[in-house]
Amino acid sequence: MIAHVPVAAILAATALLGFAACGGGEGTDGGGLPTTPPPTPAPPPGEQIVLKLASSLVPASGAVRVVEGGVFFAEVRVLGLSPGSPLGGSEAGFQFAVVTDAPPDELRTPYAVTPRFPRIKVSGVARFAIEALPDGRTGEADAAYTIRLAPPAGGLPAGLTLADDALRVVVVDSPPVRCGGLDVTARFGGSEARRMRTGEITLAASHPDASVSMVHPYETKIDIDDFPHPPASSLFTTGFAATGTGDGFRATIPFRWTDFNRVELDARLPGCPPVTVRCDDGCSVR
Amino acid sequence: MKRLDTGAPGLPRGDGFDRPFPRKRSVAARGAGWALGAAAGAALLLAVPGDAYRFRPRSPDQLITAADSAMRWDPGIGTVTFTVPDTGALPDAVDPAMWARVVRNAVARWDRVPGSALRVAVVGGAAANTADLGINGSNDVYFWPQFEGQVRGTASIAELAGWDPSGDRIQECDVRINPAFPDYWFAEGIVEQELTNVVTHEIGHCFGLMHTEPYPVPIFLVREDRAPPVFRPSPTMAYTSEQGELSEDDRVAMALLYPALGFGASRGAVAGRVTLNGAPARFAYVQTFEARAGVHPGPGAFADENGVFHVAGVRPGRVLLWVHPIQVDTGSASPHLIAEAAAAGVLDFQDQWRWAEVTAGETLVIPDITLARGRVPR
Repeated sequence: MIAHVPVAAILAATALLGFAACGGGEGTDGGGLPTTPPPTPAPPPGEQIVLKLASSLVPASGAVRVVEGGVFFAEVRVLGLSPGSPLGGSEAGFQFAVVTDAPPDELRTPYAVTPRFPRIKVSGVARFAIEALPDGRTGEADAAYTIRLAPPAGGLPAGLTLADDALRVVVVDSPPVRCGGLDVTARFGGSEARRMRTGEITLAASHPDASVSMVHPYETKIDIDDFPHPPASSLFTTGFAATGTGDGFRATIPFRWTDFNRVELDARLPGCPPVTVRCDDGCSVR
Repeated sequence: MKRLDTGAPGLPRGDGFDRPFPRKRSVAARGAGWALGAAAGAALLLAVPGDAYRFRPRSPDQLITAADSAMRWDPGIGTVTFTVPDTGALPDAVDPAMWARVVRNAVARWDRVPGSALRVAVVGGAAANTADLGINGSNDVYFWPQFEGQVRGTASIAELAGWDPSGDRIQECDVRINPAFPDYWFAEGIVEQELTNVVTHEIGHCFGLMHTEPYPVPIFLVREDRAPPVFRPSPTMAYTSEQGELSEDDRVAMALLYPALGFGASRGAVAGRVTLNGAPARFAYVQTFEARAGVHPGPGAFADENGVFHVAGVRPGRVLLWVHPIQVDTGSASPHLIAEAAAAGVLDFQDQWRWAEVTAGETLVIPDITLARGRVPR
């Protein structure tokens, strides 16, 4: 379908939103079209004002699965506000409460942590964090809970209702960490042209929260004054192959670095001492 | 007027290229003074001025927004059409036939994107009085005479206009190119290719896509054209793109805004929080790679003001997450976002890899990713 919108209607209803100027240079302003800011959206008057709980994380069909220790944000939005509404002039916004059927030691919402009511501005979006607390349990079934909006103390102002939506949250038991479950090998590949050296590390981890960090790829002596800002390392990976193995992963990561750098990477599992890979004139693992 | 001076797509790397980057800026960190526990308990109203990345937010107060809160065309529009008015300002290096091909090919890249229901097409153009351009009910792509003489100025602009009662609808978009740009910047023999990349990038803005990160290679230390090719080219909507075709990151972004039936159920998401010294790692970038043979970059996302990231549209399966700082600070990258990240010390942390298993139709929230300082050379 090709859209046909009457020009007059567009002229009556549009305002410039802004533009994205792309390219280098000295910041020349493109100038151009009118500069009127966008007007406040104006739904038809008379509609009920609704506070709606939402989360960008919630897919239409499923739940948010939160691994213990994970945090996500939910949003509350104002729907149906019209210019003629008696609530429309409220600069202070509306109060609301957040309730959940989760035990307080499983899921922490702002209501449980902070004994006051969040507030949402008329034209804004309120966001609040929900955290799945580590409870030390292992091997138990994942637990499902709901989170809803509720009236604040003193109730809601007339004309304001709460959408009967609930966020479904599944708290996922984090698999136990076995510190010996991390196998790291490193291979020195030799020197290349243009003062480059090559190496490769292979990491096999039994836990999904295994991590690899670059520790010392950044001791460059290259004059970087002509470059945009310092995060320009002289180590870079040239690819990797990663596959799943049981609860974990196996990843092979080849990389290059300049010969005046020492490369150091730390691989670790949560709560365990790191395994350090160091490459200079050769590679070692300790 | 809100200016999003945030990108430099397709800048040539050939001889005579005068790198238009500003001098290095300080990345000295200021203390963020943010407590995780307090933030976890507090309702937050976002109030960060500046430009946006990846998706265009409804509110100018937001830098980072999720796809479902972003500006977009009404999905019911079916097809967004572009016209190519003749403004009489073609540069010497571009003839009318080439210009027609450029726009047609750029538009074609955004048409029938897998996972997206939006169609994109070019309709006939005609001679135009520049006074009639602007908000006129037509999505126009043209060389803009007013740019002439601004050799080092803005290369190209995508300009959005529109609103409707829901406040999140785009109703018009024009792409304006500086006529001096091809003659001055593009090496002979690749003008059409480079111009197509620029127009493709600008048209991407017309759908509500903002800039994203290049893939994590040190492109400004080792020239991108000499870097190993496995991570090239970066996404079309990256502010350093030299991309020819759309990347997975571009395609997913389009599909998230205009999902075809079944797209959401076929993909999953991974989310979480990134911290640095106990404070949110604001605007750290999280790039996904599919964990299978070969190098397969997936979508990525910036962490927001609270250090929270949400990478949606990920293919199910195990993914590697590569967390890295914003990589470049060009004259046209967002100064607001760079400044915000620098103020939080988030231009200076060590890259980190993590893994996650993504399930179709679900969002997995992983435990915090804790970063360490030390990317800046000592």
